[in-house]
Amino acid sequence: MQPGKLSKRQVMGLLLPFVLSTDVLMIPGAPLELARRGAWLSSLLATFLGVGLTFFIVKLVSWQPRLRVTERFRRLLGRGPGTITGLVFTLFIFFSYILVIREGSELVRISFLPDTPLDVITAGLTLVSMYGALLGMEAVSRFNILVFPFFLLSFILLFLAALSHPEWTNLWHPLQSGIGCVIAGAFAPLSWLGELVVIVFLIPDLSPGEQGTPFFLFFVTLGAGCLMTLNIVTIQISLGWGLGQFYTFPILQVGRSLFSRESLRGLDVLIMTLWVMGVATKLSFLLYYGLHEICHIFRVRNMKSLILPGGLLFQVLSLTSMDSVKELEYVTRYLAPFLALGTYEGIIPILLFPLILRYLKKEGGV
Amino acid sequence: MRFLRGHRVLPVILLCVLLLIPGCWSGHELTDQLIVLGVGLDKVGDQVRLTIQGIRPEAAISTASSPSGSGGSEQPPFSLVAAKGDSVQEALQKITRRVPRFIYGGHNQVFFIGESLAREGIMPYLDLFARSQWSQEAAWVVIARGGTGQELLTTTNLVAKYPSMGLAETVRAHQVDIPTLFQFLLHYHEDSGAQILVSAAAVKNQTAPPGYQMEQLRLQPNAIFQGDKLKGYLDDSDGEAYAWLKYGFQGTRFSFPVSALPGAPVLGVSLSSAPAEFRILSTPDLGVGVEVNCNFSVTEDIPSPLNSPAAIRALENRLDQTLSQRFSLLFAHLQADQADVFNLAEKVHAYHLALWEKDKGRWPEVYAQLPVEITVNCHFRHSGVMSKYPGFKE
Repeated sequence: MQPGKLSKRQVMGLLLPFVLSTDVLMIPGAPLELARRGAWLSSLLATFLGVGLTFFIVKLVSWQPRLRVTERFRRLLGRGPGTITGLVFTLFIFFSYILVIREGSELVRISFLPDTPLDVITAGLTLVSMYGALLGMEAVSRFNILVFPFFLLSFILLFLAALSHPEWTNLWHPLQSGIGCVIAGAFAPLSWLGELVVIVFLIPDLSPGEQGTPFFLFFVTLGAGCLMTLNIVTIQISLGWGLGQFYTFPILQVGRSLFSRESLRGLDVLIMTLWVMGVATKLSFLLYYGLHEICHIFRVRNMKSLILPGGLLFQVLSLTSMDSVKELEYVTRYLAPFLALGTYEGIIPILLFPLILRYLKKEGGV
Repeated sequence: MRFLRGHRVLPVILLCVLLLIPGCWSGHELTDQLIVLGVGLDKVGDQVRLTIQGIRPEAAISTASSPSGSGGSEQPPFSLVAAKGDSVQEALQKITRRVPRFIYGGHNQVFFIGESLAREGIMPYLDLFARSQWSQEAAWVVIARGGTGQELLTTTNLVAKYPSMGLAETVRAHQVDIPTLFQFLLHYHEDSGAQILVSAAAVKNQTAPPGYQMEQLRLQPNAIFQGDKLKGYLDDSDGEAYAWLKYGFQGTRFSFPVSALPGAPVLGVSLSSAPAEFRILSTPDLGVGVEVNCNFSVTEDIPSPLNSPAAIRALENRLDQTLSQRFSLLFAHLQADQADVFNLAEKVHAYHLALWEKDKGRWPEVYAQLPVEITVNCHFRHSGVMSKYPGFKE
């Protein structure tokens, strides 16, 4: 794909499902377990902190937007440290790919296809993502435009359905377990909101007129945060924190309980299909940009030749690196957030901020 | 990937993906399945007995296609298989080995739970079903009053071919509200932890002539649960009053004497309303306010008392009093049993956090002492297509 081909709308349409497709599945379990009645407040807090993180990300990408990730870090940090930082970002993208492919596959297996071997489901998702990576982000974003409105609609639909028997009192006294629990509960949603940092990979592909001021990222963070909070509110008013925390995919249970009878039966499957499509888009994104950057670092000319071995390797890793869904739950809720926020999503963009300011000052940009 | 440039292989890859995406793995033909309609769970000695009522699709098809409707066979179109085990899983495993079919639970309608098991605690026995991917949480949980779940699965009724389906039809026809497994789990996790489940007993219609006395399930919302254990039953009158408060009147037909005098004529009404509203009163002491607003129409009045606005108001007041008495009695019994089945604990928790924090450890005792203020507002709407008793003659 040639740089500068994606419009602002296409990028927004890519980023919102990118964050939400995984943020709404397993992640709500963490704030429900830790913050209990304050789960929705944890989500709001995560949104607020996410806007703060977005500020640093915007600063990071608005400086020299045409540069690829590793090139950007090389200019900021020097050749050696810059290459290592670029490699760290890329490896995290693959780490994310491995987690997401397993999460999406477990959603399908646990909820709909229990007798189907996990290998088959991960293979299906990997193939789709490989095909997406092969076609490039322009094609993926065009496909995404078709799915995106329905994807958003699913959140609204679930919320409206939950209004049939809402237990609003489940939202009251959010600080009952203490402010510490609310803060602890905010980490997992924040880290998945922080995935917006992948814009550093995508920014050169954004149309040149919009590269310099990617303020729409704030809108994406706010939108994703609000929808994530709406999702948690839907779970809380339907299941309460007590029952909600027991489910691997709480929102799926809400869908099942709301659409379990008569004519609405099966609507939950439709919604989950949309979310799996969101997951497939995200996987294509991660595979495409991860391999793209690897090619840049190691000077491989033909990125497409890496799609098949790369996709297969990550599929195998997604199957072998975690034995059970419980392990995956632990990693996505309690391990990956700290790992991601401690490095490429939080600490690195924040630490790079003074360097960018220095460069901007030199260039007379401040 | 160079060979993909011509995009000749792409359709093949796409087809492979399409084959994999639907995930049609280990499919089962309809005639190779035993489709579960009802599940019975009973305690037998130290073991649990699992009984499964399933449709044999081919039997159902032959019954439907035969001119007589009987299929030429006296055998029921459903199968009943049972096994005992130390756990539900073990019993299910035994059934699976015995039945040469794929047991499909996605259409299960009901769990009939034997009384002895219900008194011991039902959660360990419903665990397997709550985790099931087959949406078993939408199935009803019904307690077999004074009997076993297996007995209820063998109830034969001429109108309903399958007992479990007969239950579904009864529920649809009479707008009965039966808590599902999901609702049971939901209420179990509420602050009060108490709830009312529906009990069923197989009874014969004794008033029908011989040969027409069909067996049918008598459903009543009266099984009091604290946590996952059956504590006792409400009597018929209280069970009815509970359903009115919890689910609204929903076209309930109800008869009551027009005055307190002995031998007073009876008046029939049809009521409709939304569920009752519960409020926690805190001035000066903690208390409960229950408000019921309902509309009613007169369906039977002998002789007609509704010949003036004053008579209508008097009738409304009389109905208010009658219903208030019923609800007061219900609350008196519930408080004596310390069963907060309307989850008032959640309201105290939400609106009076300090009080809740102070009393949550001894909530059942606090609940038992709460003053209850019941307000019923009945409004007359119409009296059918006639404005007066048809036998009225000047």
